[in-house]
Amino acid sequence: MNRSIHFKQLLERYKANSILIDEHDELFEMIATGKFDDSLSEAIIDDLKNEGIENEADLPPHIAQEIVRNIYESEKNTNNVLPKKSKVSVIYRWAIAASFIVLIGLSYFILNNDGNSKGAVNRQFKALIPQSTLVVTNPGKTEKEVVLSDGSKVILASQSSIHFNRIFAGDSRDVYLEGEAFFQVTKNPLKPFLVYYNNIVTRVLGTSFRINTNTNTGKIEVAVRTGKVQVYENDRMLSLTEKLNKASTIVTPNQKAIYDESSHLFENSIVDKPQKLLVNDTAIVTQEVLTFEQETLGKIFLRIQNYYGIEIIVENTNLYNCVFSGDVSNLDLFSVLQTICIATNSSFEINGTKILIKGKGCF
Amino acid sequence: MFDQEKYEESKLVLLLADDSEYAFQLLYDRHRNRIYKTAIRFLKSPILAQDVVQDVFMKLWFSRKNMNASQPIEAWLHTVAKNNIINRLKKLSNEWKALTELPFITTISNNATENSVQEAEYISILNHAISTLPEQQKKSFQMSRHENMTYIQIGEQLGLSPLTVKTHISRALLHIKSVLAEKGIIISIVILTIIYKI
Repeated sequence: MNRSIHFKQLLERYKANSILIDEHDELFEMIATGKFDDSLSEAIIDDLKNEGIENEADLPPHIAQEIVRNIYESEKNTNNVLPKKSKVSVIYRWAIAASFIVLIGLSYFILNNDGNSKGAVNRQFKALIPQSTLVVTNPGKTEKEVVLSDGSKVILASQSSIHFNRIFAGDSRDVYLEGEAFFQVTKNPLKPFLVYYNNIVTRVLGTSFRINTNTNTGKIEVAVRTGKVQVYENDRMLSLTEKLNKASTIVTPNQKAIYDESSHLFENSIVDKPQKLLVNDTAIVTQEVLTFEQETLGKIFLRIQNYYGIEIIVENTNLYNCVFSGDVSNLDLFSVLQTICIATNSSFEINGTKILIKGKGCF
Repeated sequence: MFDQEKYEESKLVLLLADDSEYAFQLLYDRHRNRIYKTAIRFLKSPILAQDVVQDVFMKLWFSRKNMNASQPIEAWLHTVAKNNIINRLKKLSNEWKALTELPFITTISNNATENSVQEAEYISILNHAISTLPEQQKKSFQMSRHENMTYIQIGEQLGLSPLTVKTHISRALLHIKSVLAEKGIIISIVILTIIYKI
């Protein structure tokens, strides 16, 4: 039989909902080859021209209105400043991250959006979620644990939902989050774990991280404990011009990326409470004590840098000559710095992802 | 379309270039339903059809400065809608194929149905496996096996897209296969389907 006639027959039956299962497989197989695009185009155009189709439902009015709102809203968003390119280096190093624990805090706040734009984002985000995913919602007041097919654990906070496939079939493990959750991800460098959260995607090769909702900042935050994580804007939520300037950043331990939805910018900075680095799931550095005996700041800063993974720079290299004695093992990073600064007549400030030490130094 | 209407639409396109939301709304109201209905017929999902309508009119609004008022706007909308529907349909087809090509339909063994005692045992294990399926999977599976319904028909009844129904059924088959495998029965799903239909 002529293939194209056969195709048209199958298509007619598909449209009329009278196609059999085997034929449905066959039809979709044929469509996937791309060889029948012309027939398909013709059929679609015919239908579009065909006026007044018998008793088929119209586009529901409230959705029709929402669509118009979304369109105007998305234009407003594209008129915002172009995102700045953040420094992204050594991408291949992600592979290393597979063996680390990753802790991400990601918070999202909507107060500074008006009702419309919130609707636009949510509808767009909801449309992204594949229909075939399972949904687990936690309506209760306590946390709820969900185990995914790859062994990864998700602890859902109250009033949160997670969408995922029962089997992670593709090249990546995609989950869609609404709300707040803690993730413990099974290692699999070949299948990165992707968390979709409104406009942004968080890509992890490592093992655990947190996503939560913070009501203070109005911005999404991704904070990393250990390992390495890439955060980027989701292509499918962006307009064409935005895609060309897609914002993306890599977050390393004790750093956080803050995403500003209206300007499409990521800004990296230091987390509020830097923690000791974890290597291979265990804090092997916990035994290490930070006790210094007449040690130069040059050496002390190097130790602290390795301890927290945060770069420390000095305004004046004479600071390296200063000496400090004392036990700061039980203090958090900022208290350690404060103690050292008082002792050496200097001060420190956070400068992006780095700590800047100011002072005249010693001779 | 009447000439009067054509004339009017070309004026609307000019207004649109001047950022008239009124003109946009008129064009939208006039054309949205036909695009929506066509999209539903080809994609079998109201959500996807809504996305088609949004994509098409988003493109119109973003291209409003570059529209040619002497060309019929309808033809432009139809071309954009057609391309959008084709792209989505191809994507659906590829996902569909991926489900169809899951590895469980490969081996065919003949001794599985050798004698009727064995067969009865299989059926009881099978029924047990089916009874432990999640509700939507069980419903989809039974409708397709018992009542010989197609994915589209099941989808209509359960309010799901055909692709979701197919996913449910694939998962149901995988589950059943794993239950059987636990009992030491290695059986192809092809055979399984045959037994179950008996």
